[in-house]
Amino acid sequence: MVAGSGAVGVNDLVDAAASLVREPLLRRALLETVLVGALGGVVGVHVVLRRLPFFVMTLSHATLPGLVVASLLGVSLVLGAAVAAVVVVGVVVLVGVAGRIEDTSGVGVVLTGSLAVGTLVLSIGQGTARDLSAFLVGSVVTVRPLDVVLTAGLGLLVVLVLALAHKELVLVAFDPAAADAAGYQRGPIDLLLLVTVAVTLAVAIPAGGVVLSVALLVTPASAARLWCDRVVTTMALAATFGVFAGVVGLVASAAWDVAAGAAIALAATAVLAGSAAIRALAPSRGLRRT
Amino acid sequence: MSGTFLAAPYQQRALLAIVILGVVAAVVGVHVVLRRMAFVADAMSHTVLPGVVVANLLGGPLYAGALVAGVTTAMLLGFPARARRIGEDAAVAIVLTSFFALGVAIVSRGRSFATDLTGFLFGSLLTVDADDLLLMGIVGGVAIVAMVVFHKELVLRAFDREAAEAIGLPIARLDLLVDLAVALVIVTALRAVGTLLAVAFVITPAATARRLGLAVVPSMLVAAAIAALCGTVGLAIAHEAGMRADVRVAPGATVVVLLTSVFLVVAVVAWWRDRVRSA
Amino acid sequence: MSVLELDDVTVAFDGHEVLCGISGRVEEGQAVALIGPNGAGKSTLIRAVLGLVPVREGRIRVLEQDPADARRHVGYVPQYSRLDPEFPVTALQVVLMGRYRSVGWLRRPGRADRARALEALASVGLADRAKDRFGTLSGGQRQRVLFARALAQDAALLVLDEPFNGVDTTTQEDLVALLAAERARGVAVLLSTHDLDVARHACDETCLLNRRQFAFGPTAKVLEDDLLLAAFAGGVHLVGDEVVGIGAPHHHLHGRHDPTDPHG
Repeated sequence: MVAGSGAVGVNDLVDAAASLVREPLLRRALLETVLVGALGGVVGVHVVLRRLPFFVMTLSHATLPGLVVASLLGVSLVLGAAVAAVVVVGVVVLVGVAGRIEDTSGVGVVLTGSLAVGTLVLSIGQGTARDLSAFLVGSVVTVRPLDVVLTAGLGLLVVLVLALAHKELVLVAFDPAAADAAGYQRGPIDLLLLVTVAVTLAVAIPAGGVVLSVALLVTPASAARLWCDRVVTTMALAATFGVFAGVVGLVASAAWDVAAGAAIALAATAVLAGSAAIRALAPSRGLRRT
Repeated sequence: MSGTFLAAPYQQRALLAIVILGVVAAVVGVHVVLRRMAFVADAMSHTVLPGVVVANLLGGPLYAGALVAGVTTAMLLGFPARARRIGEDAAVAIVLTSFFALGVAIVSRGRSFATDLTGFLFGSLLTVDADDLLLMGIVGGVAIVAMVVFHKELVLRAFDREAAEAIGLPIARLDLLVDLAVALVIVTALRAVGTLLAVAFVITPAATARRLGLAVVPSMLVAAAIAALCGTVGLAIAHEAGMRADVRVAPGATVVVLLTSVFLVVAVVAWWRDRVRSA
Repeated sequence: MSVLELDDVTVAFDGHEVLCGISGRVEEGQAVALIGPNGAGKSTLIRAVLGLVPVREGRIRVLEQDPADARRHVGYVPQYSRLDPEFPVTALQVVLMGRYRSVGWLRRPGRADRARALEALASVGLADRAKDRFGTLSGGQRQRVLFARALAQDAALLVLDEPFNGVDTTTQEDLVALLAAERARGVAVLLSTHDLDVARHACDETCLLNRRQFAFGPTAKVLEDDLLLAAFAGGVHLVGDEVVGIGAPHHHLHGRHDPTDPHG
């Protein structure tokens, strides 16, 4: 990261922005951030519509053991996160058969349990405080070229799947009873959605960390929800907000020597706050009634 | 590390810390589970970070910073009306990640970023001192007293919000009370197991008691007992692993893993029992 | 003094009116039914009587006080289906909740409170289930427990929100009998329902509403075909064999005369 002075200066920002494009390491970080921002925005709309943020936070924490193991084995973190996330989704779906996802206490137990397991494994594996922080907070600048390729590929796959299953996903989100009546199998549709969320987390977490990658899944989509009424336009706007937050956050991070994941999350919140403020001051303008 | 488990004062303090935390968290945790507020509790464990970080920067007591951040969160989360368009869950997630990001951003500018952050988030059970224990006792005590004094109103509100409103109970204030109690638990846990693992003490034993089908007050007692037991065993395991096998095992995390295992066992048994019954 | 007085009550949310022109009285020992289709505003009116929703125009008086001040004397019975059956409370504990207002903050219910609660539980025939978890009871039994909770409060006005939904016939009959017994003691009753038979059997007066009041008066007179059709907007409810055309003049009994078109 470019060392910045303590004071806020436009020059710092310009320098930082330039370096993002100039230096290969940072260019990769920029690319990864753009991809994750866009993907998070799109998938995030479903997360917000289906009231899944708590579940996503849990899933995110649940990848910690996977990250730790992958790190200890020297394997790609994205892979470790993906495996852990898919395992948890599988468990949750199984438990869903026997219990309820709305059982927030059960979900909470999984969240903290997996955090503890990850911490435990790390301590046994002689991991350090530095590693743990990296997992929690992410480190977009240590993203490898392979990771960027994985992100792009998986991202494309996720978007494709969402596009194909679009009307089913929206129907189930809006009116589950009607979906049942129309003969749709809610189980497989839910599973599909959860897997896309898991994959998105898997690519976002190594870059943004366990907590802050949830921000990319929730905040831009929430901001977009304040502007749009139709799902597809919301997704487009959410992706835009996600990319915007990613770039702004990365530039700020480079200029002021602040953790990238944190800067990106804060940028996303700023977009949301701005949207909320504008909406509150000028209601119903341009908002078509569905 | 010394030979026998609990021979050294630092181990005794560690155990006392876990027991205090366990009892306080159990009492508050039963209410959290009754109101299905696990996410709010988790949110608070993350939102105290900027408070702790700023307090550290200013050279002040970390507890105070955590308390301020916790109270702020509790008050922020009491504004549900705005969240209609994006949902309550999303609103909580946004508050959680924003505050956490702020804390991380501030810490990341420092030199000892990684160590500092980990210390705040995961605590340091084996270096808890007498002052810490005193503070834990006081802060935790306040939380317990609040829950006991308003017990019947809190249970009624959790069970039947409309009826509670109908007899004139101030719902918003009762909810704020529970949120503040959770903040107090997080503050209590700060030095011992850190903020992130604190939530486990709040939710897991209480969820276990709930799975056992216990009434409210028995749940609190059983949850506290489970926490105390797992605390003792967890510390013993961490100690023995260090002594015998020379394996460094984070004590706080060990306790949480035990709490979670107990929950899983009870959950599976309860599920099995229900299946057998309905067959 | 009337137990409940409604004087040209108008309630609004977000700028639009959801209820208007509600007028009527409930005296001691009287039972009034609130009848109207879904979305008519019955629950809103109930919430207004409980002081949970502000009145924009007109006023509501419970025992000659503001609804919020008279809560101690109003026993509310919600629908049992809204409550979580997994919640760890026993039937007796639920009934005891009715004593909380008189017990007050900071104190525990005493022996007298427990005795009253047991008595109320016995009067609904569930004394033997006192220690059982609320959720293990059947729907009808749970509704009875909620009823007992309101009884334990020793209220002057009982307010019931669709109390017979999803409840078996025996329980319905028992509850109607219990209501009659309370009325004999001078307790006033306000209950909302969309079951016309219940209104006919249990309530001497009826308030017919659909966002606005169509009539408030003796049940037999209010539940006549033309009024019902007007309130239920024509095609929703068939009443008897004879159907009178929509748009017939409205009967004004104790309610307001509305000379304009049926849709207010």
